[in-house]
Amino acid sequence: MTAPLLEVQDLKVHYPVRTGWLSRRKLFVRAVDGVSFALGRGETLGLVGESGCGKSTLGNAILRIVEPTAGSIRFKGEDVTAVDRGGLHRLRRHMQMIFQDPYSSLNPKLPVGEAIGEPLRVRGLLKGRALAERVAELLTLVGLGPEHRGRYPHEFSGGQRQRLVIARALALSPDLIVCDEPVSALDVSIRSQILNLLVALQQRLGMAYVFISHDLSVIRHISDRVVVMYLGHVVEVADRDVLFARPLHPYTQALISAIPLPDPQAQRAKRRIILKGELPSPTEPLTGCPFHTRCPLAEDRCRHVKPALERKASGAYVACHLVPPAAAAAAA
Amino acid sequence: MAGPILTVADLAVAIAGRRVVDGISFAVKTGETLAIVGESGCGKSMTAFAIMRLLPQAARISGGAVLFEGRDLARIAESEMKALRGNRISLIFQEPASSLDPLMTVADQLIEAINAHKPASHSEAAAHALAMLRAVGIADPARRMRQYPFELSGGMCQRVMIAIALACRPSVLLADEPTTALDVTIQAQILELMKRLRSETGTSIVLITHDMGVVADMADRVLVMYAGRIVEEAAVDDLFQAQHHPYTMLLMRSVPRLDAPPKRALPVIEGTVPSYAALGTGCRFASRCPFVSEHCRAEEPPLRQIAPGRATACWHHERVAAAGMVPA
Repeated sequence: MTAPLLEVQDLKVHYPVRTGWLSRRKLFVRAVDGVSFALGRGETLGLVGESGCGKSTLGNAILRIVEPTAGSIRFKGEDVTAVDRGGLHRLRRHMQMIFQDPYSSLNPKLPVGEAIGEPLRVRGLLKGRALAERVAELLTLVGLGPEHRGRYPHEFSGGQRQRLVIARALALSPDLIVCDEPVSALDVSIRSQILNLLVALQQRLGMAYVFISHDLSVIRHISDRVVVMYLGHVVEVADRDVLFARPLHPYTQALISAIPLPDPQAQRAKRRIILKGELPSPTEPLTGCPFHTRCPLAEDRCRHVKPALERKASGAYVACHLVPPAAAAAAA
Repeated sequence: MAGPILTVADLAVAIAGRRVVDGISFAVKTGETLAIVGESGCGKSMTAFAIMRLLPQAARISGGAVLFEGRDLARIAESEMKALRGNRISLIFQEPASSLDPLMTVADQLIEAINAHKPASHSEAAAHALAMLRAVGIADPARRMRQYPFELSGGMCQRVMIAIALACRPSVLLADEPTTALDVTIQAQILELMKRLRSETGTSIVLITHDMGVVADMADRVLVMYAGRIVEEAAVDDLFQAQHHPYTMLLMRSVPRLDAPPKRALPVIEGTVPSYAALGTGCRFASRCPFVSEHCRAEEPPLRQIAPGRATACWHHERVAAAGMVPA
């Protein structure tokens, strides 16, 4: 077994929150609170959860756009959290990011050809004619043409801008691209074009994706493995088919059952788990399972003891007291 | 079922001389949920704003009628409209947090809405407000009454919006992407709430959405809009079973589904929606349509009835429906 491309160990990102000036008490938002996972080369890891679950913070922390509070992130064997500025600059050549909003991701005053070539120019990797050729190649790769290079972002539609952002992310031939809700701002008919492009590029170029989305249908479509997050914690990690065929964590089950199916008869027949209540405040120190306030199955121990992420019989890793561990399930 | 409660006839909305809603007609029956589906810019929200007479300044109703309880909402005086709006016909928006007044407590906003149409003593109005919050499933409603919108989550704000919209028991509720800004587990709660309120009060719902899952879950009947026109109309089961317009078919198929093989190439709709300035004489979908013919480019197909309760604006609808039967 080869070493994973990316290995995240017990990562924590806590943001301090300002409180009243008389208050001595310091509050922290525990945006990411002890997350671990690994990602192989060429693999797509889906990161799913609802707003405030910490998925975007986690994505940002991988590239150290936000500073982790604790834990380690090993990328190609090096600890991203421990390297100095120069080391980070060197590592970031191999890891890139795509954001949700293609409108604010491009400099409106820069011709798009220059924007796409910028990473290569800044790092002094290519210039002149070689740079122009590479830019033309990148534009073609994302389904646009070299003739677009002199135009400005406002001349492109939302879907085309997301293609430009992808072209720029590909410029340095990264091993990893963190995609943070890359299709959420796009119309349905454009969304499928971008998803198809991301899948095709991966098959051709072999980079790994961390794909962040709140949309489980999109996550299932693109991912090999899926991490489900809730309130800064990982509640379930499993291979895509295992997760969608047999979700084990009550939160994953509720999340999957909540998606309305585009099929009226199936939708009418479906049993839907409607969660009660709202997410607890992330500044409140949490006891027990992060999900216990909304969990339909919560018992007394769930309120007091935090469940560890454990391997279950299906091969999934689940953080829930009520799902029997692999050995117990086999014995039963 | 009884006759229509709301009838829109040949409605047109113009912005700077361009018809962004271009002659659409439909009727909503009592107790029915009618979904209007389409992508950004297709005119679905403009239709709702036109019915409510809440169009942005640049837009105006340039033709047609909106018949509701014996009146034409497109023509009545603003004072008359004001008496109906929020009373007999209500609208809820996509962004619940920005639709509420940040400087007023939940109680004051609800009481204001109630007093605008059904003046009552403060204690009566407050009791009604509290009952409405309870009806929309807000836990600890007495405490929430005293709070401001910033103290509530997005799902709770949307419940308050629904409570305000339904406080005067309107006969029609227009809901413009009511769950699009919400998380799926909260969306499930809100959709469940709307279904329950519909069956309890008999309110008709016009649901505007881009999400075919929400349509399948909520609608009795569906209108599909493209570039300012209705391109297909059908009962919900019929529409999902067979699509008679290529746009509807591609819209449904381009979405990743939980029951389809992952990573396979999704069908796409090539190109983009034409700008209203560039509309020619032919079908508005012609430039993106895989079934396009000379006829389509020359002459725009009218919305024609092809079966009871079913209409499409496509010259080749039989060929489209037959192609849809073959799995993609």
